[in-house]
Amino acid sequence: MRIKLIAAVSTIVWFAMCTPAMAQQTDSTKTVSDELQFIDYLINNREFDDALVLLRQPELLTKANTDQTDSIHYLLGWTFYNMKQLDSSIVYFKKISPTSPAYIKGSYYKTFELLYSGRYAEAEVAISNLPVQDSLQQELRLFQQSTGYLLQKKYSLFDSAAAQFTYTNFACATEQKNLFTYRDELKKVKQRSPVLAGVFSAVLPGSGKLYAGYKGQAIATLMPCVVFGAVAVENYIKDGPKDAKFIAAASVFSIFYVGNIWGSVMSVKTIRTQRNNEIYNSILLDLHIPLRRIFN
Amino acid sequence: MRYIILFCWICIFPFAGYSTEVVAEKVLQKADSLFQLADYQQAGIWYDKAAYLSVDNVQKTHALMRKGDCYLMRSNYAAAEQCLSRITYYGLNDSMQYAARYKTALSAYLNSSFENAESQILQLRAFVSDTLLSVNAYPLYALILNESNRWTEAKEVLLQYISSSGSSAEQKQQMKQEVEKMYAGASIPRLKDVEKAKKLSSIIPGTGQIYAGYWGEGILSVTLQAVGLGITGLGIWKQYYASGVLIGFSFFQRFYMGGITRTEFLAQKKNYTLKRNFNNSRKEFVLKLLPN
Repeated sequence: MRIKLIAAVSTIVWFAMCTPAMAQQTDSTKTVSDELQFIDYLINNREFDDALVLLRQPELLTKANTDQTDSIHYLLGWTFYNMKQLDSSIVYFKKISPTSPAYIKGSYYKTFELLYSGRYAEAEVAISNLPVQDSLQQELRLFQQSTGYLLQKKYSLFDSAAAQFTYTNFACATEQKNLFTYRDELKKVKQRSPVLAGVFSAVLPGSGKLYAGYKGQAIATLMPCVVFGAVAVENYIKDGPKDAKFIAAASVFSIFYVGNIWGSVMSVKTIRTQRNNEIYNSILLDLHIPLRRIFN
Repeated sequence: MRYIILFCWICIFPFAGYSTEVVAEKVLQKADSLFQLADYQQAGIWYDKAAYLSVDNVQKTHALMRKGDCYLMRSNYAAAEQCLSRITYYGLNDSMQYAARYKTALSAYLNSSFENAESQILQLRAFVSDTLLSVNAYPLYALILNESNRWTEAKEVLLQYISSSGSSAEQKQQMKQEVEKMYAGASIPRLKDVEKAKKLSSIIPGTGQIYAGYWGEGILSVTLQAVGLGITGLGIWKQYYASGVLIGFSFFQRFYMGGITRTEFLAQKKNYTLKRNFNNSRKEFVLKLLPN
């Protein structure tokens, strides 16, 4: 009898204790930490728009404590990074406080994004403030710093920073070695003179393009000049300088001739930018790989 | 001992409300209500939450399919295809597997990912053992095959579907006749051979365009090239050699090379038009056959 009584009382006590707990449980799916875990799941499943909708709920920030606020900023930065909206990503990575576990990853990704966006001055400041807790992070920091110098073509600074590489870490050793190849390739990009290209094209149409490095375009530029030049000469010899056919042919020739000189001057800059961009793209790709190896 | 067991049951009972399945079910209900209110983005998020909380793969699959519906309602076919690609088919019964694969194929079709759409239908045929169920996907399969220019296969698939449908023999006969008529040899588009058109234009200027069905452009092309050659001849006759040869021949050469490139474009344009006209006119009929 006594045992039955104990059982009945226990039942009542349990119900009394658990009713509010159950109500709270229904609500618990809405708690910040649960919500953040769910948002992380959404990001992992590439549901970025949905993640942003949840992260931008005003009540999420209101309810969050300091750690959770950092997590929100990290997740916002990470979502924008995945959506390739680097400017927004940088803004949120910057907001993560140094005490947060996400601070290190956020800082290194932020530096990458600054370098990628060509914001070198800000990147240098970010690199100098990068947290370094172990030899791997030291290597990564040096790697990002060297890459920054290389992208700005500060070769002496690059050399002194890269001299400190130890190549002991698999995560970035290959990419560290590649930087030297890129440095050599960047140095090899020929510094052609636009004035000289113009002079060449004035003497022989198309030769300025050849000097700049566009072989195919040189012939394409030469042809109309030769055609209209020859026609103008022929008409001049046969009908004299006042003949309409000569004036028409000479006018068209002049347009092509001047265009050929201007085009050669511009092509020097174009080909240099094009070649530099090819190398920069390889450098930026390599800058990304160690980050993914280390943090993902 | 009896009382100890009773006590244990009492202790366990209050935790029933904590079950993730129960929570997932509640989340699913909330998502359904949002879907009914046509708030498809929020509904999609809640369906994903249900999928996230579900331990049972059937419930998870159901939630992801509903999220796919939300994307389809927003006409975001790429997102629907991507969302449905997250479904894992382990432990699903025939009807569930059919529904999931069918919806994925439909999203892929609407997203113009015809290879993925066909792959889903082929997997559906392979893994759904109930053929009475899998045959329902055949109208969609026919639409996919139409887009891949495989019209003979599309016809076969439609005939198979009609044969296995629940219609009366008379209706079946009528529908089969309609399919036969629609996919008869004469009505199937005869696509132009792009390479052949280019070759024709390079041998006899203008004939490639005419072969592609553009008579006007063909005649214009041959006329302009003749003018170029005429200028060359005239220049030589009048002893304006440089003017004749360089200007006349350049003129001819530009139109000759341009004519070949134009022929390629025109043949492709013709093929596209023929295909679209045929497929669009068949789509209406096939859509009537689609299961609800």
